[in-house]
Amino acid sequence: MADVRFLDATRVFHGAWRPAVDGVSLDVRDGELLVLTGPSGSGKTTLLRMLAGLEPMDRGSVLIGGKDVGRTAPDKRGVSMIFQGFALFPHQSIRENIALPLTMRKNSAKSAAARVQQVAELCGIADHLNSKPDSVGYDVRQRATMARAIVRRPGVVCLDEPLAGSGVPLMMRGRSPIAALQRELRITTLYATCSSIDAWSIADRIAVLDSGRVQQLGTPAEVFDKPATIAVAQFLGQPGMNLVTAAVADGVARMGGLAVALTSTQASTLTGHRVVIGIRAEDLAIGAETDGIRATTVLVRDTGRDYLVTARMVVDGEESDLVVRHAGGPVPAKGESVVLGVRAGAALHLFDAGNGVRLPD
Amino acid sequence: MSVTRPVAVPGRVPAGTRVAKRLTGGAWYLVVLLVGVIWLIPTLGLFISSLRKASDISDSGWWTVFTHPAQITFKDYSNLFANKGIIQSLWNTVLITVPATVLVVFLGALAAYAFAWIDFRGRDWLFVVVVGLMVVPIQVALLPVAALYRNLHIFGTILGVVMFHVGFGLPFAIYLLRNFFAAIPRELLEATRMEGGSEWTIFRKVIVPLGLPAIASLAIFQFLWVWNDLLVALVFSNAKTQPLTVALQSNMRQFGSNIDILAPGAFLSLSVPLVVFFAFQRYFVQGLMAGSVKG
Repeated sequence: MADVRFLDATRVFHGAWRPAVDGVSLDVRDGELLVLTGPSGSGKTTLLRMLAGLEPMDRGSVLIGGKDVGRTAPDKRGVSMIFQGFALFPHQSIRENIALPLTMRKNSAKSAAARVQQVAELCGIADHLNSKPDSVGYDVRQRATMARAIVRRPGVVCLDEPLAGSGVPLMMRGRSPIAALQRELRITTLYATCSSIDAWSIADRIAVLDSGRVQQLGTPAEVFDKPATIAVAQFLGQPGMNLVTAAVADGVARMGGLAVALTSTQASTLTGHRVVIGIRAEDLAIGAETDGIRATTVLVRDTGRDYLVTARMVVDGEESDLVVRHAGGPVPAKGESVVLGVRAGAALHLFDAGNGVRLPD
Repeated sequence: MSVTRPVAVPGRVPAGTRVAKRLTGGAWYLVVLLVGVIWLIPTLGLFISSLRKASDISDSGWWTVFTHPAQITFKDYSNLFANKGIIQSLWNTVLITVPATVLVVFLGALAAYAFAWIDFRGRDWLFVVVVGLMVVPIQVALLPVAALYRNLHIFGTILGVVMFHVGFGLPFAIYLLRNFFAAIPRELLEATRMEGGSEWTIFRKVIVPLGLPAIASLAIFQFLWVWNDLLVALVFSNAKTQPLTVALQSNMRQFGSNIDILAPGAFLSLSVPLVVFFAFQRYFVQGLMAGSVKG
């Protein structure tokens, strides 16, 4: 069994003004695919590297299968790492690359060759074993990195993709071979990515990190439907959630023509007098309702399937931009005044403006 | 993108590539050809002179050999190989050049790996010192090192000459290799470390194979420099340990125009670097481009 547990894991880089990873406690279940996501610099990669043993910990501990591995050498932890850019050795064949974890551990040549063959067949690259990495396509290289990662039967696989979009195809997106193989083999997998879209499609659970702390841990639906903090709401979704600060008076927060009444629990939890109201672009509609939010269109983007309309509104003398996903009907022109309404049955999200935490529903 | 090649910034072509592209143009071929011929003529002249009798050389130019092929004789070469002093000095050259090259490349590569990838206190300052040492002129060190060698009783020995060459070769070696090694992707080193690779394993299995172009070109540079050196050997060797360059120079002084020894000796001395250069020509060019194109 290879469940992973971080306890108060902390890493402070020399000269940094705040910890890169700040007291993270996190449980990863055996066989689970956990996606670590968050903006760049949120500590995803550092967390993976601490698990792999490439980065020391300044505080806290990390347990694999219930055993503290804080002082265990990287190669004895049963953790494989798939690096950004694949990290295949260009001067060696795919076969030698896959065999590396075995040859480094002085396995006998015969058993290593058999195992490499077996893993290569599993990953569907048995025909490419004699090629050099540079001479095969990205798909084969992805499969080869996966083969190298699983060849020594690790308990945990870490995937690090901090710079998604730099030209290398995303490792886990859609029907990527790595995602499919993970499903099939059911190896505990931690996958760090900046792209929240990646996170939805494949994750069993998502951990959203920001400023070195875990903001929320849950299924994709949970973190999307009930983001625990403003940081999560901002980061997840395409586009991110609209967030507008509003003052609370007599238990009601007003945002343009929109009034949101706070429940008594919400009101009592609130630390200050201001809330942040969050509305997803999908939950707003351009309509003629008289009590809607008055705003001016500043930008219209055609996504191909629908339009993303950015409208500027003024609340308490402060400008805020709202993004609306507009599917049908006439598209407002730039500079046109619109009235925005909240779709029936749509969820509004309320956060404490003071500490950024979601108010109880 | 392949893992070894850092992503090129689009729109900016490295200077080396631009020059190389120009060189492939027709006009540049002519220029390069001309330069080659100009360089080749004296070499050819030296070679032909080494095959002529001393009396012929003083009578007529070497090009007359084309109309009078009877002038060609291998007597000077057989005399040269019979000359114990010259053969000893050729052997000395090998004894000096090979260790001086091997040591500089080996120690330089180890130090460069440490400077590039091992975190230790004061690393960057130490590297600044190494880079600073590159600009120390050899002449400044001749007297103090001579005094030091006398105290150590290695003055006039091959060991002394080798040590001097190693000392002055290392700063540039470290500088060149460090910059090349630092461009090797970190992930490759860590992938090896994840499998239990020690620093030594990483050096052997990742750094050396991937840094081979830089290592090879450094070896060629260092070999040529030591092989052709006269100044260092003139100061630190004696009659028994002098390399070919010094032996030829002292022959010149003793006999005035001793062309029958000088011409074949000089060509012999020239031929080894030529062989080395043509054998490793590919690396030589790659090494010159190291840092700009990152091959």
